[in-house]
Amino acid sequence: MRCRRICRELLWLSRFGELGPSSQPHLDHLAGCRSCRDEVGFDRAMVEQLRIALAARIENASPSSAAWERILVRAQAPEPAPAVRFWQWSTAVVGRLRFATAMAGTGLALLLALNTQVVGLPGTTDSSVDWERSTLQQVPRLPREQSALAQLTRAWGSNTDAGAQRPDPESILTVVSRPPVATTATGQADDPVEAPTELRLVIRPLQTPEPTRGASASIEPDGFAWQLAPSQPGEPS
Amino acid sequence: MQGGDLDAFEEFFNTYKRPVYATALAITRDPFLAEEVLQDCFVKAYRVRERLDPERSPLPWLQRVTINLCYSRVSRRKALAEPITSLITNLVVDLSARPDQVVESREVLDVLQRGIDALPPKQQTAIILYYLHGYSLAEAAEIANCNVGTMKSRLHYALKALRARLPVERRAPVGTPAAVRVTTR
Repeated sequence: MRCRRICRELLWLSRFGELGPSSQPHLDHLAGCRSCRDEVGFDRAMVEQLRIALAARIENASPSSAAWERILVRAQAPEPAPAVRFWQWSTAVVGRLRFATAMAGTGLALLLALNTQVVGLPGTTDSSVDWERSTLQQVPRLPREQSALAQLTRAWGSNTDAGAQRPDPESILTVVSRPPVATTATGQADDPVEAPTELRLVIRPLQTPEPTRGASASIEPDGFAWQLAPSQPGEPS
Repeated sequence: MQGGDLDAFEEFFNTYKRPVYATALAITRDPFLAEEVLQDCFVKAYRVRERLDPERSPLPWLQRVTINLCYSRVSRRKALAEPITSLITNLVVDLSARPDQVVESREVLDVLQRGIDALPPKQQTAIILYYLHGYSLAEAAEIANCNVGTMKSRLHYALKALRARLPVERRAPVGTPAAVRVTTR
């Protein structure tokens, strides 16, 4: 056994008072190894200091004489009704969750302050009434085959496909972000204030995975480089 | 006490108040907070007196309730009573030792006190039960509601963390000039 391991075991055994006949090899090593003796000696010294430090925390400390009277009064008081206990418990829970509540409130305030609109991806649903009512209804909806989900599916292939499709060498997912259209008093839509921002997500394989056993191959996410590149002017989106 | 006899309850309180208060004070380091915990603990014991097993010592149960109450309160009140600790530390230093030993010992105790405060609650509980109260590993494990192996592991990691807090020159082995000197009282 290496000295370091013996030392670790010695520390463990001596800390919990488990040195016994089976520890003879350890003790033999201890007798001849100054480094291990120092380690164990230091550990014992530290534990001794730890005991002193812990004892210092409670030295000459005892509960006040009024403690018993207070306990007696509280013990004889009727227990709170279940509804009251539930109220106390729920307020305690809310108190503990106040950080989460504050963060959610801040996020909501930021959302309102920045006039950000949260909408779903175009093409992910066809028959959502809420989508029709949204302020971004002017954004042309993509056909199903051009939707983000369809593009991603084409790019990544399908794990369940028996043909084990390999990914396209390079696939582009285009994300179009259009600012809300200002509306005049007569209800007519003005031109957008800013031009739409177009971002392309280029999915490019770093290393084409080889199918291992003929029929099925899974495509690991690590094999792709994700690039977020602005589209060039004039390129189709 | 199970029948609601207040005299028996007072006897029960007088028997167990010291270990309960010691645990509360060792964790919270605040006498007022420790007394609140003591009150809560005994009021709770009185309310659930019918469920306490008369055949077994109530101390492990009392200690477990105390520990839980302490940590639920300490997490609410992060600030701990620092000045009183340094006062106590100064008192426990062995004044018969040489001045350099006194300084070293005081420094080590300060480091250890801060180290104990910085330990995770489970490790802190382990060293309080094992090194302060002197419970056996099995008793400490029962109070902490874990098995003996887990208790050993918590103690081991607590000591490792405390050791790592000592300055490098003080971690030199005993026998060398810069070793930690233990001032026995």
